[in-house]
Amino acid sequence: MNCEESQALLSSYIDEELSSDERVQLEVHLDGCTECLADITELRRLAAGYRKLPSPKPPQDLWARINDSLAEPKVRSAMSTVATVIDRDPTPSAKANCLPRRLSLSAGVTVAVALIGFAIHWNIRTPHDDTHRHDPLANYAAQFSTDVLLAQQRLIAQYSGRKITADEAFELVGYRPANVKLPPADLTCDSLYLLDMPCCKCVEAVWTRDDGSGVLIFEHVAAIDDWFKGQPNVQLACAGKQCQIVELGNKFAASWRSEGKTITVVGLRDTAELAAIISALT
Amino acid sequence: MKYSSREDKCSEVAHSILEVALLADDAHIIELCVNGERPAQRQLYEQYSGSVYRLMYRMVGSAHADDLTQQVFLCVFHKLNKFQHRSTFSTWLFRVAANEALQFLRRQHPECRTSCLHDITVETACATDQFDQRDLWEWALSQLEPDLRAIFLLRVIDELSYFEIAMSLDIAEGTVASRLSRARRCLREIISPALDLD
Repeated sequence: MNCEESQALLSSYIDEELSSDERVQLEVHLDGCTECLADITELRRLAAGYRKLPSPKPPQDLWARINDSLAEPKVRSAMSTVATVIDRDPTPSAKANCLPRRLSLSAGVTVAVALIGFAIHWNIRTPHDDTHRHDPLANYAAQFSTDVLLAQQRLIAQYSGRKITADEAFELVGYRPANVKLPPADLTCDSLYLLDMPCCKCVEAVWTRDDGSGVLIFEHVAAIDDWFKGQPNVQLACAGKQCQIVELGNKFAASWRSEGKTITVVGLRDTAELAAIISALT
Repeated sequence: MKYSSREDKCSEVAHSILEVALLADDAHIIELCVNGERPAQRQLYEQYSGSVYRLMYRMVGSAHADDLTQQVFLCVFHKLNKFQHRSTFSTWLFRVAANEALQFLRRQHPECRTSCLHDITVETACATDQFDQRDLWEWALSQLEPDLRAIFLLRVIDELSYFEIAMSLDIAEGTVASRLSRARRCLREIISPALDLD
């Protein structure tokens, strides 16, 4: 073992996480290498230094706040993290420093849309018709080009959409959808919905960019090739997947098959973003 | 497992017994919590709030640590009926907590992902003689990428194993090892010159 190989293992060595073979090989190297041995001492001092830091304690009234929230109706507590964080932003200075106004606005709009979606769902939904022509995203795509929020709202209303958690998604569709994974670094998972489509139950993930705009990721078991029926499309190989690309105003949508599922992403800006999302979902 | 002395072996056995007892306690408390028993929920909170708050404090800073800790426990109490004991409760809890913190940080403006943790900066603090060693260590930690910071805290402060961290963050154990190594290397590069560790 040389020093380069040794350096890669030092961190795991001080954590006692090496296999016995690796540990023996490393210790043989350390026996004759004062430099790597010194590095171990330094890493241990680093860890010890952090363990000595005072441990901050939660405020005394925190349980009372949690207790109060638990007593509130479930619909409120089921709102997304972002809503809660914005509702309860602790200090004006912190809000000014760390929550850009555009983020507050976009998150607020997202929550409003979700609530409107729920309201429409409960008030105007009609019994499901299995004979309904299944062109779920054709109208949606047309609407998306002009009004993203309205398109999302109508989709939720049309397919009895409801907000779910990642764990619920797993239970409701019987497999672990790829779109419950963490998005790429420059996107944030805002919410997950279950859409009851005629073909199958579809999990929709709403991911948002830092500027508040959204990317929507649909995942179905059904092999559907007419999501955007009638729309011009091209085939594109991207990040190892053969994608069908459809233009939607100044953005585009992409569909591909992966592990027996159809993944459709709507609201893409460029192929670099598509590649990052494919990698995150694979 | 090798024991260097009889005392070590006794200590290890006692620790294992204690762990089993704690797990049994957790299972009972969790069952009560699922039934909405408020005293049990409070007990769970009392047992784990220190760890969660400490993680949040160092992940997102003092200004948001209260709110995110609150959010974590609300989320846990509402989702506890989905907990299937495939991992320990603490691993599951850290998973919820780490996800909340990382999601929160990803929503922030890029400049806020680190600097809002601590108002202090090395330059201004040194200039005013207000910068003690503790500030330096805290500041260095705040400079790590959130993913690396989470792994470092879960390992060094909360002493989770690589397996537990992998379960908590939904990544491979090999990724835990490589990121932890990277985190330590970054911290050394920041801290060593200041503390003259070399």
